Amino acid sequence: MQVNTTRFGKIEIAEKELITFPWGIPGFEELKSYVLLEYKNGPFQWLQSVEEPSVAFVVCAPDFLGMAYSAPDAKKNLINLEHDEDLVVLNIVSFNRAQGAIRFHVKSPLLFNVASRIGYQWTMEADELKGHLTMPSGDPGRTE
Amino acid sequence: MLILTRKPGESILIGDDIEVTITSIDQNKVRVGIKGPAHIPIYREELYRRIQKENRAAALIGKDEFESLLDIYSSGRQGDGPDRQ
Repeated sequence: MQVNTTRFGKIEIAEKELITFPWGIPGFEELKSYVLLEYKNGPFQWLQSVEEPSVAFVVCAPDFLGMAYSAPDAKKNLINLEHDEDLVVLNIVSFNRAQGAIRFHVKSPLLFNVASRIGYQWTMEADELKGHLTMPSGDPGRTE
Repeated sequence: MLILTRKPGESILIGDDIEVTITSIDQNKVRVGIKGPAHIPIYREELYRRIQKENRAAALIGKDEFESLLDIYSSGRQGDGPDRQ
């Protein structure tokens, strides 16, 4: 199928590549269908909306920064996760123009079930950070 | 907005599968227990609003902007590392 995008023009993707966000992504609740686009050899990818050409996020695996998440069962249930090995976590990355700095959205990781291709953005409560997020060694878990 | 008066320990049913229980109250805090189907996400309102705002800002990133970001990154001028949320 063909997907229109403002950044990459018309792209051709297979239906099996589609990722469904049943609740959308906060701020874009009406958009349910996305596709992950590789960018060069990584570590970044684009998460492009299939329904809205102008909506795309830069995403990156948390292990690029040495972070790791462990999702609680309640979150795994939201994406119908049956096997832990089917869980892929990606962080939205944004760009701070003023500082010229890259920002990882650490507290709102995207959870994907690669088997059923369902996605959900986990908006982590302060008390969930402790115990579900492992920061790189040497960093005392500073998140604010 | 529907407004109901409840005492600690009393509940409200939304449909037949979402149960909201007032578990305790004190001067300016109410503790609420929520029981619902596993496939319905529950959020603190202000947290959800903040993530909405951050996502909307993140989705504005242009391709050229992203590429300039990568240039900064690969030239090692990224400073002290990523800015955390």
